[in-house]
Amino acid sequence: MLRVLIRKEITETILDLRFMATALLCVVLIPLGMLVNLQDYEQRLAATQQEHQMYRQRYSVPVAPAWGKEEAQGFRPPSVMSLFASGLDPFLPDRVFTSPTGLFRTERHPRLDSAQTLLFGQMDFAFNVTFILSLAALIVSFSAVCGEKERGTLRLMIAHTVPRGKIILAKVVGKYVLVVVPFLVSMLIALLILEMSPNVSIGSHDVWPAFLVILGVTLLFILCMVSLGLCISTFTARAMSSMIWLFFIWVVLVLGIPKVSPIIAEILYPVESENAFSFAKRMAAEDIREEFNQRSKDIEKKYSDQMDKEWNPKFIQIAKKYRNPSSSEYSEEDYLAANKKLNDEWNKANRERYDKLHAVMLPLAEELKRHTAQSLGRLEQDHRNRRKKQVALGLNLSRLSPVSSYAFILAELAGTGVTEMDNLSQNAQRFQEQVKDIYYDQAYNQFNSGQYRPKAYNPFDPPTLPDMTYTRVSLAPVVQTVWPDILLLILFSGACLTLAIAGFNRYDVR
Amino acid sequence: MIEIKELTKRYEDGVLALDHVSYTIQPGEIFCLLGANGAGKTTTVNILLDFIQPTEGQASINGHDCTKFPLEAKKYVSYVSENVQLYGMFTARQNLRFFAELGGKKKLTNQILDDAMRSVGLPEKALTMRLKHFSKGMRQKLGIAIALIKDPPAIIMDEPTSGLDPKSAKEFLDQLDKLREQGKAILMTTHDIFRAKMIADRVGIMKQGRLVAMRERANFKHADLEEIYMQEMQADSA
Repeated sequence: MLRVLIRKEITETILDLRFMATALLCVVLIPLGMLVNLQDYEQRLAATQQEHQMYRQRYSVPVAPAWGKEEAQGFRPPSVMSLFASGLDPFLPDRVFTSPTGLFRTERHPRLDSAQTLLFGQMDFAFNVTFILSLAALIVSFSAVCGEKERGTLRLMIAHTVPRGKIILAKVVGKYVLVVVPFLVSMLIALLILEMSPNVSIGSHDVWPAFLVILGVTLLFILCMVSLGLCISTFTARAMSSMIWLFFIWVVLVLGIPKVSPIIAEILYPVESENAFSFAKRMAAEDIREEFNQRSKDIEKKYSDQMDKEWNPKFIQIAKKYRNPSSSEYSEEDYLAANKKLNDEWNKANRERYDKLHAVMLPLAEELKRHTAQSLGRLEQDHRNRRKKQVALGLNLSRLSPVSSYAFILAELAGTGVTEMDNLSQNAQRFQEQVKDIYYDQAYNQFNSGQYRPKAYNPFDPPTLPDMTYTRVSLAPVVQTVWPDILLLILFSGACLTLAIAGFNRYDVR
Repeated sequence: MIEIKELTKRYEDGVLALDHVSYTIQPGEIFCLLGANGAGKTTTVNILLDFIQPTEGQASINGHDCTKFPLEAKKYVSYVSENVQLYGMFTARQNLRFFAELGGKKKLTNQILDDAMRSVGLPEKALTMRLKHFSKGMRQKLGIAIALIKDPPAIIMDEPTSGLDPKSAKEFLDQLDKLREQGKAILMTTHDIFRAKMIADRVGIMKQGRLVAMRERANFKHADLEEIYMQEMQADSA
């Protein structure tokens, strides 16, 4: 019975113009999107390789260290999986600049050659699935039940010995197969396009497992959309009503929730902007410096006062002794000799005072450095935590839409998601430490003031700057990260199917 | 075969569509249900086919309660609607095969399907024609073929002659005669008093949800059924 119903659904849909149109869209847009993305990826890869090469030629062996002139740089190559979902890739830094201070910074070169992409949006696989395929799934399924009621065929079907649950199941399977088949065909063409590129190897270990997971998740996402279409179809009496409702829901799920949730998160959990935070950080640093300046001034004054207290009477005494005409020892020559002797002693004492002061100021400078680092670190950490909370709130809110869940999963699997930001920081930190050991510790002295100055090193054995080995997050932890989103997709499709079955059991077929 | 006991249906808006209606249709009997629009004829059919639930009473086919065990009850019945709607992109043969398979008739050869369509008067060229090119009469004939190929002991027909030309209607009545001979219990709702008189073994006249009259063939064979019908309508109005 089920087989008969499925066969009928498939045959009926295949003969429908809507199916032909959506199949054509899939088969054209997905490979086309992949081709465009492949070209973009190859350009980005070539640009990174070129930059890296130029950097190696110029900086790999530093001739002599010079402050601010040489910073060992690391390059983040584009992820091959970004072909599927560009995600945060256009905004993630592609360069890491290390420094002798132990702090690194990251940067991204603005890519004006992709201005058109920025203007019109990236037509990657994720876009094609979330926008085009989701719409195709709804177009194929929106009239599954109410359309049949309108045509009058449902009445005759129900008059036969067919359980209603089987009708719904057959409709889900039939419509699903008819969205999945063009999708798989388009994926096959897309893979052939990728395989033709010398820069992409689908068979490589860092591609095919992630690709298979992407494929599986996409199939699950399509099921979500087909189930949604069917669900609404069982709660409406006319195909037009179903179409209008589904269009509204599609706009909310695809355009509304993912874009509005960060705004709601900002309202619910406000965090100061990056500019405001930078300003606050600068102010905090200035306050700390001011406090320490005052303390160092006080110490200097104390030592200076001690010197004055100790030595001024001595200078006054010899002046009174030798320069007072009423004095019996009045003599300019003796004064000059005594003054010179006293000056020599003062100089010696002053050097000792300076050494003592230095001994006191050095820990103070260390303390300033430590205190500044700790305070700013705390501020930074606090800001980062609050920002993370806000982002998490926004992400969780956006998970009301399966489109968001799907986008998160895809971006994470493609190495262009939120996790990649942390991964980039970890890679950069590793690189910074590596460069510090190999280069900065040999080439720079840290001065008491906390500043760094270049020092000479053996020109016959100059250090070689290492390359940043960029490690991607392996698949297992990524799957662990995206598992809740996969579960949400399963729940969403399950809920839609349950509602569809419940709705159809009460559906008025007249 | 078809049994209706104290069947009542009140819709959510309060309209009483059926008011304690009872009758039984025996095998080999054609029972015509006459009545104006909104009299409750189609509501009866809808309850028998589990399209809607009754408020009170019971409807059963071959002893199976249509509300409690609808799938079991529907095994023994076929349905022809007033305006047969089928899958327009399918051919007549594909439509017939699909509904035959739903009715439990698997692995039917094209020959059997074609014969079934020929038997209801569909022309040869129509057998492989897509339904979207069919006239209403042709669709109606295919609807009858769908009902017959299942070969059930009971058939429910809701205004089946509506839209049929006189020749097709005559062929349809001949078909009904054959079905009666085969022992089928047939419930036919209709406005067509002329054809009801020609074919029915019994007629029931419905008005405002009530079965206001029941006549055996012997009572209307030589009388004017239209007059009886009008009398019942007027009597009730008075």
